[in-house]
Amino acid sequence: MFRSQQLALKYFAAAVTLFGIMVIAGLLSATYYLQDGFLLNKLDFSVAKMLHIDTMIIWLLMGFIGAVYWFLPIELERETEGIKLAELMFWIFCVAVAVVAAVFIFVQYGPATQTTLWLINQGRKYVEAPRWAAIGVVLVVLVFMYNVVVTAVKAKRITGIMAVLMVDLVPLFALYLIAFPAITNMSEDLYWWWWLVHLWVEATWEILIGCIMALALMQLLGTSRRIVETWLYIEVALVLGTGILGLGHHYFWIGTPSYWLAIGGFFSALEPLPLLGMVVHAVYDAGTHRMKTTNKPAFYWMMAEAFGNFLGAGVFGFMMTLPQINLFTHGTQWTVSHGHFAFWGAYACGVLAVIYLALQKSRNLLQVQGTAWKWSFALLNIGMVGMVGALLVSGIAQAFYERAMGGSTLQAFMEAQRNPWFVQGMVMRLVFGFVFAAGYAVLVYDLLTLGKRRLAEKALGARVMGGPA
Amino acid sequence: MTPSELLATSLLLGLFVLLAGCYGVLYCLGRLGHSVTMLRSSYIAYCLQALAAVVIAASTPLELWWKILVVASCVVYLPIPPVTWRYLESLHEPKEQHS
Amino acid sequence: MYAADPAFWRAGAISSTAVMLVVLGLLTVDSLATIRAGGTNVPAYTVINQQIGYEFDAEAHRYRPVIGAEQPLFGRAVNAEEAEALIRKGKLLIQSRNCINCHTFFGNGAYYAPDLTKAWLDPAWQQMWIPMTQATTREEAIVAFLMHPEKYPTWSRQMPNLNLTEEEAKALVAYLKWMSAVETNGFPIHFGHIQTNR
Repeated sequence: MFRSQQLALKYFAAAVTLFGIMVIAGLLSATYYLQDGFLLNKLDFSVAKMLHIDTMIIWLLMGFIGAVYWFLPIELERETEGIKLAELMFWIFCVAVAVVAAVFIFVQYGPATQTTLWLINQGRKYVEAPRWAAIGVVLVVLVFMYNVVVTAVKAKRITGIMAVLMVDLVPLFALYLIAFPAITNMSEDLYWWWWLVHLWVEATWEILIGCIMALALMQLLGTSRRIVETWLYIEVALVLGTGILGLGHHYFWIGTPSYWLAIGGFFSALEPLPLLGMVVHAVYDAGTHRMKTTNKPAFYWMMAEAFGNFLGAGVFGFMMTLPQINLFTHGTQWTVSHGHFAFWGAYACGVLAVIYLALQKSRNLLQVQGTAWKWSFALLNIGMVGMVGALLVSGIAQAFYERAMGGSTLQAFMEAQRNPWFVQGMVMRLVFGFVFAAGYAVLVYDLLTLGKRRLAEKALGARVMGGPA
Repeated sequence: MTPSELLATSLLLGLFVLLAGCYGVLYCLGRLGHSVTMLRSSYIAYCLQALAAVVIAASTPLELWWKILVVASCVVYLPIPPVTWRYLESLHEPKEQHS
Repeated sequence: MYAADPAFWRAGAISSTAVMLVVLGLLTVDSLATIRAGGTNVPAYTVINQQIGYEFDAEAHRYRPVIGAEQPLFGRAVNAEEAEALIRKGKLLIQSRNCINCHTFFGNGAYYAPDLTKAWLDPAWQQMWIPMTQATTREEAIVAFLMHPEKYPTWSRQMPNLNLTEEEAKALVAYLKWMSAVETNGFPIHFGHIQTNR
């Protein structure tokens, strides 16, 4: 195994660990809605929720980085350049994440000064990490980009997938610089912030996961390079063709000109179309291979990716994207419902597929088997769909009572939060959150023991029979 | 827009795309299994999607341009599964068979 | 068939991306002009010296902020420089206390606490907090609440005490007042007016 792939496994381990912290923070966040005064002034909702969303971003990023480090030496047929530096950056990344999380939990906030932004909390969603840590992220990504580009150049092998990946990393990196400024004018702040968030998760991340899936499909199904590359270019054309101006669906209500209602709504409404194409592609692959593969969990997670993306981003997104509807749904639990489902489908499932692929190779398994992966697949997806459905009910109640009827005042907000439909939705969200957490526990068990269980069973069987293993 | 109209319109919009997904999946299953029944079911799903588009256009308080967009996108959804399927088949054919 | 040729789609990907980026660039230039403080949709910071309302504009078919007569905060009008310093402090406060992870601003943020876009205009200040805090003005009531939310709860979900100084609380009030005057294309709809389901 290349050192790059060993590093990939470390990134995957860190990613799965952060996934667990995300789950705990999520369960905590859900509890505040159901128990007044829960940890008030000790660990407020804002801290739990910030941990939840930030660990989500970082576990996914670590999954992407791990996936690239895994596939890079296979794709370029050589060890990754600058691997020692990359290994060092991994540990720096982990330590920085731990320090930031500790400061979030134990220090929480500071005075209204630049020093607070440098050392404690920047207070902008997803990019709350203090500036010193943001500099750390910049360095990690720069080293990552160096690894990818220099290896490709030295290998004199810039495949289509590599070209798309390298070009994609440039805006992905540049957009992160928006995490630094503190802009006084909230309209301006949000204008640029949405460049970072939307052009990450609805553009550059989509391309990145597209590249990773292309590399994974070649491994998993033996699909030809010509096919995955063609499909990747189609994806880039359609996703960026709709997604770049789809950015406008975040510019309805922040003080921007009203032409964004038409532009954002129009392109946003087109976004589900390529996702249907991806579903067709997924069913085609599943059907022509008759779901037969040496790595069923990887295959199933890839299917979940296509369907989850379509449902979470496509169906749920379309429900709320037209401006006349969005006026009522914007900033409610409806958004939370859509957000959870979309992130799960678009990214989480894909990263899990790659982890299973990598483990199959690293543990020399001819076949990935067992029942544990089926349990975790079922529990995680049922848990997610349950949470999303529950949040939809709460979100609809909120849009109906607080916005459409109540006039969005504090009084309207309070009444909607106490509405029985809203409350029931929140209860069921927590219930399904526990189902999801159970799925996570089984996932960890499966990932830790994959391939080792059979050896253990063989040894046990031999001892029982009284002979050698 | 009244609260009830909000609820009905948003759910119809979600149903519209969901039915597009059903159409796509059923179509694929029909082509995979060479099943006329599945293909017919897929067209029924598409007809339901078109019906959803008509209901959205006829009885929701969306502005005219959005109704036109929904109806137009319904038309665009129709060829996506068959065209994508045919394209995937041709893409997976061995290269020599391309003229 | 050219559609099976990756190069065809590569060209498509490059050209569609390029076109969209150029359009985005042009729209950004225009949007930034609109949203700068003092631009078309976003008032200058000195708007905090005036009365602010939110009324339905029949011609525009939506609710719009209405800037009215003089109504300085804390009884003292501020000049442009002072207003900007106050608003800048308010924004630093919002970031330093992580407000956006409980509240929303223009509907962006977290949904555990109310949206603050029009919070300055909320009838609750008059109806609940002025009597509770025994303040004479809305802004004094807000400051009292922000500095000691545990003393003035309005329901069972309480705002935490974030150790605001009086200077920080006043800056935040200024920020909320300025923010309520931003033209948001009608968000939130009919703020303060209840609508029946007909």
